[in-house]
Amino acid sequence: MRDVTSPGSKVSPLRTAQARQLFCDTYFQAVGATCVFRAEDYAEYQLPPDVDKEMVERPFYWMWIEKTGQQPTPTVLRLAFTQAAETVQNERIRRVLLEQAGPSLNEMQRRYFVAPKAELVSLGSYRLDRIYASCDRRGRFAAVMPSRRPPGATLVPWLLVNLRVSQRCDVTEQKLASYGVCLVNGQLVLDFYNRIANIPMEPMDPRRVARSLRVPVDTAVKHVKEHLTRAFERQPATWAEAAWQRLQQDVEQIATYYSSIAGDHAEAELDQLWAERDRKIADRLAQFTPRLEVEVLHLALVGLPDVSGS
Amino acid sequence: MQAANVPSQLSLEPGAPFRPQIIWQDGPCLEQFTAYLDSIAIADQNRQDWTLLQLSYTAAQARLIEDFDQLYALEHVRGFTPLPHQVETAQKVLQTLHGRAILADEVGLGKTIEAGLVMKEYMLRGLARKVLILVPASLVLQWTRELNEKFRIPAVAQKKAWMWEQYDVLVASIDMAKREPHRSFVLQTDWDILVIDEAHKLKNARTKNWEVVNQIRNKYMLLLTATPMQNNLKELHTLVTLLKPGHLGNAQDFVAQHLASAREAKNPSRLRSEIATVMIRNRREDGNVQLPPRRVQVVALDLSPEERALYDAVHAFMRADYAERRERRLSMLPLLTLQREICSSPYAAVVTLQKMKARTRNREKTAWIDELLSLAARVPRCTKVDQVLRMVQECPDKWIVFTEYRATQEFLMYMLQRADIPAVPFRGGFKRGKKDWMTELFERRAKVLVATESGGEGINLQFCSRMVNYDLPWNPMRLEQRIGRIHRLGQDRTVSIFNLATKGTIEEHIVELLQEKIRMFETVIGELDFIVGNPSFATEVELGLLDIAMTAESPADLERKVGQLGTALKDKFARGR
Repeated sequence: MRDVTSPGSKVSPLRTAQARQLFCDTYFQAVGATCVFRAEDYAEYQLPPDVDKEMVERPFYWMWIEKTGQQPTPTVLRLAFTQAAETVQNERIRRVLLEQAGPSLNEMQRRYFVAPKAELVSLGSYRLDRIYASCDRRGRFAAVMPSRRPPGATLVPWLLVNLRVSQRCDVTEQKLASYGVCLVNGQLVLDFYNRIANIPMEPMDPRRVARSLRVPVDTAVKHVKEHLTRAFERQPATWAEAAWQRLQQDVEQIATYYSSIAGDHAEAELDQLWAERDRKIADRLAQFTPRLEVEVLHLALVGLPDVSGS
Repeated sequence: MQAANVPSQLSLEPGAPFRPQIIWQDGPCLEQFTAYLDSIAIADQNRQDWTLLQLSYTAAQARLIEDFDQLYALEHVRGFTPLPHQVETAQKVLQTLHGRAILADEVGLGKTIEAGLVMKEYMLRGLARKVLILVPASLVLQWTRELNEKFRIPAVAQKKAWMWEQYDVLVASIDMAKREPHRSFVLQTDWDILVIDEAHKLKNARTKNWEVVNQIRNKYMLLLTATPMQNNLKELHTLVTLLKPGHLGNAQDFVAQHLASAREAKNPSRLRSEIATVMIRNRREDGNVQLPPRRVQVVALDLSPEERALYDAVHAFMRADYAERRERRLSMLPLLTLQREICSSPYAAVVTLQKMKARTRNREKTAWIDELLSLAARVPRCTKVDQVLRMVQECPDKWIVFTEYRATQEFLMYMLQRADIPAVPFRGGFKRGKKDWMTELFERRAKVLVATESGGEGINLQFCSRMVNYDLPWNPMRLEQRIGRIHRLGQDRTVSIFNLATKGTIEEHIVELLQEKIRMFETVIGELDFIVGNPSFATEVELGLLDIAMTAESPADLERKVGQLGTALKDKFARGR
């Protein structure tokens, strides 16, 4: 795989059409789809059934196909990566399909012929979001080792833990964090993913390292959590304090406001008024109370050749 | 997007240091990982898990939420390039207003575009999924279309109750949203973004509309209006309260702290700076937009002898009535209406005259009104209508004719039909579908659109570049809104505006007042910075004009007094700025 994952957590990949095309190409190749047509900034992929089910929402179709034991017609995705390609390819698709169907159509049918259209894959597009979701589902776990290993080297098992840390208040900031835990001695390594991302890898049978495993996986994850918690506690939380101040002001403002207008309301309306106030305050607190959310994105067992021993 | 485990009670202890809670969202991932390791032990060597993990990592990087220095939405608009002020506005809403703002650009500067950019940006960054856009019924389809075409936001026009749960981005009318069964759906959903177009309709906190909107849960909120206040500064307070309750204090505090009078702020610059934290207003005079020029012409007309007789008679009647009303401190409103109607057409005036007749018990007055009515019946042709027909027939372009009155509108439609000129009517009372249909008919088939004032709001007619003001509203804001229908973004031809004015009537002077003294058509709305001075001086101007019309001793006196009023208003703006 070419390097679509440049190192560093501050990069924003997939911002160009080329990068998105490379990304999609890598994805479809990895899931076993076949590229049936290719042009500038454009490609058509025929999907195997399991990918089809993830990319196209048609559960009833699949139920029917599977119940009746028929051969499914595979979906072909027509993906354009630039608006120019979208226009050009839409015209081409229509022309080609009309030519194919041409002889059997009468004048009316020709005129009202509707050809399938290319999809523009852009940030925020439906298709790209589906591909992301598929990657997240299929790429949660892995067990790998470098393809090129010194002959006779023993493999040391490491656990890769990729995390997404969201700092949430009235503004949100996110970053990715990656840890490696040596499953032999419990050593913790920071930014582990970027250290190994460029090493060509191949699948590894977990049994290859099973015997050298000294630290259980759950203990390793616990190490990571403890380390992260300590790191958060050491870090100054000025952002959170400032945001908490803002939120308190906001909430106080709401509370004061409702108390001040209470006088205008009849006794019977007051309950409703307080309920409204409490709801607004609760909404604000739920949305904007400063907090840190940590999601575990990936876990992988990585066997690295033991260089110290040799 | 949902928050877990937040404290339900707020501790307001001062000085207590705040530590953010750490929330682990890992679920049963360990068990799943162990199961995974067991399952692959015997599996094949061609597994692509690592590649997919790397792709997933890249995707995660691509979706990280950062600051809003760069707007990704700009890469996703289609078919147009947002103007600099629109981009700036969107950025400011995202960066400094944290997604809660009143967008109060002047008519035609593209508030829709700004709102679209903000929505798209939040959606692109995964900060928003459920979006509700409440707009006047007549604009539902247009909004839906624009969001889909220009921003690729999959917005759907709300029609049936089941749609509330089926779709994420919905465009609906407030009138629909406040009715069951829709109301419950709207209120029980946690909306990420709530957008309200023509938000000045929420200027009154004691209405059902305001109440419903106030109850809709939302994280980000955009209120769009070109006229954040039409009548007084309290309306602005009402809007801000929706966004940030208490930001301007309660209504009484606000009045006490900020208002010198209903329309004037005590300390304009302080109020302005407080408002700036919730509102953005771009003005045309700031050079934000290069619109094609507008050319305004007065078409002066001589009344026919019969019309003259009617005008003079009605005028004499009004002067007498005015003196009486003033003495008895009665409302001037019927007279104001009559004065404006008689300038429009005999048909419009007849309606009010008949109402006055029905209401009066004074037999002398009844007789007088009868006389006026018979004079009106004797008017054979209407000079203004003839003029409109002539102009429309001479020029092949499309025309919009604006009038304030239904009666005039109907009469115009009738006369246009008789002259075989395809024309469509338009007014505020039309249902959503009918408005869209009429706009479409006008664009494709008809030559003339005859619109009443209330129908002007929220329709885009930039494919037309010629407008006749059959009668003039005495309120410059309304006139600006009329012109804004065609003189807006998307208009690429010079806009021609013809103001019909009959000589020897008050109308002649009003045209002059609006057009020359205040240079209304060029800049007034811009100069009329609502916060500084006088948000809506409509009533003031209208009553001032009526007083002049009713008390002037001679045409020369009339002219002089109108001139004085104009100068006074102009000075006021100059001071306000």
